[in-house]
Amino acid sequence: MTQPILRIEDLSISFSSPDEADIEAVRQVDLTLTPGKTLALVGESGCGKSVTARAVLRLLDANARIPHGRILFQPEGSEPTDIARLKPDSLALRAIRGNQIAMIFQEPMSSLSPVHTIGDQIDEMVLIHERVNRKQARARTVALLDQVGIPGAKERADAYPFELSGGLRQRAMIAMALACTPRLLIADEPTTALDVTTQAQILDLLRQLQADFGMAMLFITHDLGVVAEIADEVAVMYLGDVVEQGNVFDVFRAPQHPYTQALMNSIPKMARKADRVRLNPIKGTVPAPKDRPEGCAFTSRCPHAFGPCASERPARTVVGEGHHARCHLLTRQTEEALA
Amino acid sequence: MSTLLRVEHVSKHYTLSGGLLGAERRLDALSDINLSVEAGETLAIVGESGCGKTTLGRCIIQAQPVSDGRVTYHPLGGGDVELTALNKRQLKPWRQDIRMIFQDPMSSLNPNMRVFDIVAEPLRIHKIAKGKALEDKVISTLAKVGIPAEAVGRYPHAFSGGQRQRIGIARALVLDPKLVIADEAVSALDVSIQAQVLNLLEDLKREFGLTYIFISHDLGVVNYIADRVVVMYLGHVVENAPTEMLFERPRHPYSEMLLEALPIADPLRRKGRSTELRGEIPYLGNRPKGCPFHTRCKYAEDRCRAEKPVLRPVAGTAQEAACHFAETLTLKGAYEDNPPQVASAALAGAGGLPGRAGQ
Amino acid sequence: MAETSMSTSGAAAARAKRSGRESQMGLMWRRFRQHKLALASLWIVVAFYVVALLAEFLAPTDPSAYSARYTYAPPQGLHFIAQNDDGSWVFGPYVNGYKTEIDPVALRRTFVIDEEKRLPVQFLAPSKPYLLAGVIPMSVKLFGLENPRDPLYILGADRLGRDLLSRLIHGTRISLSIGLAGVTMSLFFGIIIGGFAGYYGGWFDSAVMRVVEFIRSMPTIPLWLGLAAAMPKDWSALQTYFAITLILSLIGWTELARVVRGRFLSLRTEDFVTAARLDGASDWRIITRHMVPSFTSHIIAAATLAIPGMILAETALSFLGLGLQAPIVSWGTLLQDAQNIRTLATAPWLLTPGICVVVIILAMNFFGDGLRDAADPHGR
Repeated sequence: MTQPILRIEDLSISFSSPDEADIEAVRQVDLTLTPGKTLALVGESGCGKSVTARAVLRLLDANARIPHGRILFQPEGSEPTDIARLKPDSLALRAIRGNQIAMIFQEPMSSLSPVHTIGDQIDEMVLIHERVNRKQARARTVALLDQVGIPGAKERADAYPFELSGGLRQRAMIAMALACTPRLLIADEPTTALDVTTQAQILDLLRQLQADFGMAMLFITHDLGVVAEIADEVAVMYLGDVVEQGNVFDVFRAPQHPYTQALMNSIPKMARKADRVRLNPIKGTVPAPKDRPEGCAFTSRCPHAFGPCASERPARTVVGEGHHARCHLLTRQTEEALA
Repeated sequence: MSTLLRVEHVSKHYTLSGGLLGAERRLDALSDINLSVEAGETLAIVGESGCGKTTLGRCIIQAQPVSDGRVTYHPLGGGDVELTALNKRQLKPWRQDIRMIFQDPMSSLNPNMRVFDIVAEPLRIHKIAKGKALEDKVISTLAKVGIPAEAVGRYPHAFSGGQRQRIGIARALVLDPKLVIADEAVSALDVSIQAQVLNLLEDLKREFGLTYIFISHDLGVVNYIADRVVVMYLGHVVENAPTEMLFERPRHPYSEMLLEALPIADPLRRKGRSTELRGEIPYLGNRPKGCPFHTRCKYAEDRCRAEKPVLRPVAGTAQEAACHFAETLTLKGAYEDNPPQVASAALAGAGGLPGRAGQ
Repeated sequence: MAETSMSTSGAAAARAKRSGRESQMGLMWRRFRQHKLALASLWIVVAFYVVALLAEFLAPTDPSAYSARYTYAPPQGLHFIAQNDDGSWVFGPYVNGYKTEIDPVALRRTFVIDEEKRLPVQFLAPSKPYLLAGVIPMSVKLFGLENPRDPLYILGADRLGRDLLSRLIHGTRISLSIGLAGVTMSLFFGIIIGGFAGYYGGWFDSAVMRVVEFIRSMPTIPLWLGLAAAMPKDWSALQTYFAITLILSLIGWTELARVVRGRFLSLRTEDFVTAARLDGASDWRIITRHMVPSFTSHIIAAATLAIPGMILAETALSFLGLGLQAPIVSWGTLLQDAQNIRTLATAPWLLTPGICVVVIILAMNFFGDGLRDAADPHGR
């Protein structure tokens, strides 16, 4: 098995605010990324999936802290670096950012400069990371734009971001992220703002690029359909906790955590009228992080909640090969089986 | 079933001024739309951004004037009301019958008004109820959508997105409407909340005998909720078909493309399809000649580039399509005929469709 | 607003916040309070306006009462503790008297503070009957000397021996009220014109905006100068006052009209306004019930930020002698006395009105900025 490129171990992220107590936005997160594989981080808004992804590049707001946990980045043939211990904006971190790990966002318009052509912006990335002259950089830029499927790459390199459609913009953004052949690509809801046909094209593109470059990908989304399309591994987050993770086939075939099950029951099934089942939504709404139950975060909405749920945090239970879930039901079942 | 609303030859164009000295340009948002809404059905209007689905909804409810054509409402008691011919004052009584639910639960509620007043506002405007009767009506309508009576004194900012959408629904329903236009009403919501709201819409429809026009880009939700689907592309209706028929065998290549692009929440049904999806929606002001879809259509022939197809019944079906080859093409639907071996109860919901929640 | 008025205690506000019964105004107030500088500025502004309102009561003497005996008398200051010759302590406010000295070189008569002479100050001193703010008959002042014939020049005297403090207090009333009146008039025109332009749009909007651009492209000082110069000299003080207000708001309305129009335009496309239209609400109801309440906070902020400009403009005009004329007392006319360098060398205290101008302008700006930030926390 290939050596993992990024290991997140027991990561917590908390935010401080002037008038309220600190909020722990992310807790007990363990993730592993392997080259050539895609890990999808899925959850509803406010579950901490974006915060987790940003923490990997230390792109968090000034009031965020990482009280404990490790983010070990280890490209092949080098020593691991704990990104969680690096200073934001330190040289060591900047060497990783954009060079080894690149990120693409939901709205490319906000991360592309509106006053420079996309060609110039990608040239810049190439020049920072490689020892080439301007002409060589532009040749590389055009090759990249071509690779991400922008028609007429040579001419489009001289276009400004606003002259491109949403899909082309996202492609340009991806080209920029690939400019320095990163080992790890973090994609934060890259298709959410796009139409479905464009989304399908971008997902295809990412899949194909991953096959070409062999990079690891951390893919953030709220859309289970997209997860099923692109992921090898999936981690389901709820209110800061990774409640379940494993191989995408295992998790979709047999979800073990009540939240994962409920999430799957919340989406309409593609079925004929005769086979139509009424949706079975999760009751209530996601509580605010400060009202999160002491134990399992899902307690307040869980149909199976019992004794220890409200007060004790459930441990990571192995339910299959590389398939874990945090639920007291699972530990109880194991205990009962042993007894 | 009787026809509740008829849209005939409706067009909508905008004139873009070309600046101080530039030439004016015309942008056709809707071209010659024809459709009818039957009482009691849920009609979905689907398409990608810029296809004109929202504009159509707004033209139907007279939030925007049409440039051409007629929208006629047929009240259940009989008679024809040509909404497009009425002035503001004449339109007012019919505003009770046709109501709207908005997409964005944040901007559709007045932040300066209490929930009670937001829902009471339509009743006050139409002078339907006063005092205790008004209070009872508002409280009971809010109760129907799941907002408890003790919360009516709050302002919208105190509610979550899903609750706000419920309040928006209550505002639409408080006038006992016949037709409700839901414009992307669940698109901005998280998956679990979206499911709650979809169930609520379904229950309310049954309880009050409502008719819905459900505008959405999410075919998974549409398959779940709609009886009939209108597919739009670049301001045209390209297909109008009963839901099951459309998803079984679409008759327009664009419908096929939409279904093809739809991600299914089942990794076993993952598709390799890089070649199937081509191009992007052209800019509205730069519409291709002939069939609007021919630039992206893999079945396009010379005829498509020259001659614009009209929406017509497809022989032998209840479907209508605007394609020259609607009868002869065999297009792929979205239903899985041979589902993979699934037996475990845990999979009950796993074969479903994604909801596109959040932004 | 019912639950969270300005006087709400912290606990009650927290309760309102939890229950979600806090209105937009309540939220705004809570955000405003976190802005310490703005909050302090609010109190300064309030204090100035209280002074303006109670001018007759606060001013120890008549601002136009002159005394040739005390030209350019220096500030006496106000003292509270004194030590007698025998070493015993006396408490209580007093001012020092003056003694006259002849400058042996220039042979000029100058006043020197006489440390020996102590004139006790009396609170709520009886005075000649007057009307407070022109309505309430009163015959008592906040403070005065026990013997009204003694000189009382806490901040010094001017060329005619008039009390600068009293004049400053009365000037505050004129200067601040002219700012307020100017802004009120600007608001009136701005809201009506800007509101029509924003709500109906079309040719009216274009026409109004062209006019606004035209007015704003004119250099203001020459325009004011021209208009002020065109005022008939024989107008009464009151007429001049209103004419100046009108001249100031002639420019002022354009900015506010732009703000109002902008808010109308952006609100017109908000879903909740569309919803109100689809409810069948009349234009009037939509404007008054749905649109105006959504931007009152912005208007208040914009108006607050417009007041300092008005005050400065009035001060500038009067300083140049083209605005208000004596006998009206305003900060501008007071500063007029400090125009030449020789006077400044003899009586630097005549610059005190300038300090007042700086303080109130800064306070108004900070207060307005705070309001704006509170009304618009995300710069929406």
